[in-house]
Amino acid sequence: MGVKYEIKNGVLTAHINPEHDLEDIQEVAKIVENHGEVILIRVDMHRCSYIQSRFLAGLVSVKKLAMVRKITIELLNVNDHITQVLQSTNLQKLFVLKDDYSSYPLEALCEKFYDTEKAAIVSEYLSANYDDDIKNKLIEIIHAGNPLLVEYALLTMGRAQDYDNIEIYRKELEANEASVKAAAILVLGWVGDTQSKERLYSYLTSKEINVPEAAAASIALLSDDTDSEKLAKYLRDEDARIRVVAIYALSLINDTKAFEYLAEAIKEEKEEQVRIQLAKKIALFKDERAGRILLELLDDGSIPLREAAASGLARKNNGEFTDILVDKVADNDNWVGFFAAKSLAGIEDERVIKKLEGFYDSVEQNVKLAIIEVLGKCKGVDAAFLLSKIEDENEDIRKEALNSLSLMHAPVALTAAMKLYNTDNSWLVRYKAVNIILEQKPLGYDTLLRARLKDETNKYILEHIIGEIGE
Amino acid sequence: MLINSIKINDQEFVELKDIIYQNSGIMFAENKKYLLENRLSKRLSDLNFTTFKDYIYYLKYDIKKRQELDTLINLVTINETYFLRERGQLDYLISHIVPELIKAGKRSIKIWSAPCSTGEEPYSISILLKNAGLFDKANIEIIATDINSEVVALAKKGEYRQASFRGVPADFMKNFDVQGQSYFIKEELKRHVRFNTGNITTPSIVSMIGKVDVIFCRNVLIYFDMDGKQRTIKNFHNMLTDPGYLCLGHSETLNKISDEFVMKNAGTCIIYLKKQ
Amino acid sequence: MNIKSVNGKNVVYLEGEINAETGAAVKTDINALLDKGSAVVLSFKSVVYMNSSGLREIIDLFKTANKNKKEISLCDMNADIREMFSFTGLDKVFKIFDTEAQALG
Repeated sequence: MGVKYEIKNGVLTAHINPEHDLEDIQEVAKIVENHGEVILIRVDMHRCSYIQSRFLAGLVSVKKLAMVRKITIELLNVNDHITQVLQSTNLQKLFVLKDDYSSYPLEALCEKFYDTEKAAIVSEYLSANYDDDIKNKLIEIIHAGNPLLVEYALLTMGRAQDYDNIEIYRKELEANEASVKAAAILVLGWVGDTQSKERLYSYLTSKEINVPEAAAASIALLSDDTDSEKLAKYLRDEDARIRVVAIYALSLINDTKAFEYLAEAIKEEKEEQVRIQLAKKIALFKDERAGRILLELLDDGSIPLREAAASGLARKNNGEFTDILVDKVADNDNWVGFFAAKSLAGIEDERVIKKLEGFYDSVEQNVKLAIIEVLGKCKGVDAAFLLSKIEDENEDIRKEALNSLSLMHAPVALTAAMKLYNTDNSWLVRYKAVNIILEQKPLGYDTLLRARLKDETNKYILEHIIGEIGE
Repeated sequence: MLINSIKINDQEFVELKDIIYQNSGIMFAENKKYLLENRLSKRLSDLNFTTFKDYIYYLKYDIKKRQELDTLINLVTINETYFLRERGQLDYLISHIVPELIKAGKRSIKIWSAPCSTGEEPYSISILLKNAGLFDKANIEIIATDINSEVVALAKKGEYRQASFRGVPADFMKNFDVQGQSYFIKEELKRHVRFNTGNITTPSIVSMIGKVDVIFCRNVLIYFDMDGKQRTIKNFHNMLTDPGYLCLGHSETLNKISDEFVMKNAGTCIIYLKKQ
Repeated sequence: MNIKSVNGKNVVYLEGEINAETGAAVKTDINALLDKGSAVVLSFKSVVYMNSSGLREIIDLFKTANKNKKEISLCDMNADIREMFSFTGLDKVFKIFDTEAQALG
């Protein structure tokens, strides 16, 4: 029946439908043969929910032709089902799979808001290409009132920074569906509608999904000096969820007052889950008291809280409390030890480094891994310790040691990588070795990598190498 | 919305996709990286991790790693669907199909949801029937079938996360009990639904499920080739009573697949009726 | 605030803390840069703290850029800063890239 196509600036775009068969793709091959100017073939499959298998077979012969002329083939808008077929027949790597939303009419694009996986990406596309047609279509959708579509219409207008339709967003605060309400609340925050701020406070205590969270975020974005105090009241709400939401908002505002309120709350709060959130958010403040509070929490009775505090200290990583933290590496909870080790990244104190190395043999596997990782980020670490670990029986230890070596002693790491690349029995380690070789690109690295291809059995490594240096 | 996005690097991606593959048989393609980031970022953040590498170590070395693997597989392999999806047909079922069947003297009505995935569709039907008081007027059974036994197990559990409630009206939530981040369908709604595992394309499904009055089979035919479509529709034809109603997804049609059904335009949706 | 020019795009390295004051200063400087060029990449690599007032200044910057058909992208955020963007949904408003190289395309 013939394939519709056009050629523009050396790009051949062919529009495929599900009925197309072998002879149609052979026709595409003929077009390519007859047009020497073609440098890129785009096969648009947005109309195809399935595809004839003979068509796919024909596509492979086009690929062969394309390879001779170094033409790339892009398959556009391939759905999940066809992707699976391509994968199971190992054809996927022959083509570049891409989405190109300009293939679709506006109506069909907005229909994709129904699809949970695609909605966000389509919304991004529409906001990037926002014009009067798109705007009018989105307003029409909002007026029609289907909540699934309204949610994404609002988000798209907000993303496009449409400041002309604030009344529309305000009106959707009244929507009957939580997902629409939450979208309207966020968008009002994005466009800086301070007039709506007071109203958003009433949504902070909503029981609906995502509504209080969105209100907290937007209140923070719209906040002035007075809002920390207003939000602090919610830290004493009887509903734990509301207390957590207030913690989020205060941590976003992140001023001195907000800190004082959270520091006060961690003293009084009884519920473990809320205390954990407090610890996580207190870690985000620059106030020097924040570190001290987290340090105290390291000795709390609750293990998850201690882990959160240790993780917070690891994120702060400001070189304070090194002596206390290094001892926590050997903590009886191995995740506290893990984060305590991570908090030491960047230290240069030889004494602390020795202590870390000293703990190594007595701690559990995850803490060992954190120690090795951190040693890669500390100046003055001797390569010998890390080198001894690339012989370890655990594959992750070997991999992590190789990585840390590459950060501290690149030439040593390269020598090790070139050896392990051929000999290590774990693909994880060989994969890391390939990365190190690719990063450093020593003379003849491509020959070295290619030589291994015939013996390599792991498909991830094969794909990785071929992707980098070609077949 | 409201998810933290922790980024996954290339080595982490291959390691994690291998773990997922070894434990579920599902292979993530390169272009699905964003899906892992979107669905797992919150979990990582709950566990205090800021990188996927740390999470991979948790999966390998924590004492609760078995349990975490289950959580991981649940989070990444389930196709997200939601309650009241393509609501037009559901409303038509409540306002017309079931009342008409009752009026015609039917005492026992069977509604089949296949594939049922994690149960949002059959439970939506149960909720709407209950709210309309229709369970008191006839003996209505909802049968829900999926080829994947793991999603059926989840459906039976009846536990849902926020994503399943896209666009539902506020009062819909009264049908669920809240526990932390989870929403559990209420027991009285659950007991009207019978779950099982089966393949809708094979003839054996006909005897396995028996006669039914209404079939919901939405957004799956598009994934079958012509042969698969025809076999499935033939099964449906054999299973439906007279009258028999078939609901397909809004982008699906029986055009060129079967001429044994009549298309009916029901206002906001399309319903197929078995030819008498 | 360091500025580097790569292939006609200016990369601006934000530093330390982004709040109301520093954010306003950054905004003035970047608007001046955008008057001359068409695109700016903001690197968050050396940003240690940021708050909602800082976020608001970045939104403002984006608003002006959008109006004048200029492009702003962000890159190299640590997990905490990224979380601020995602909690407010602003990760969907801005173009955010993992690395500077990706932002430069």
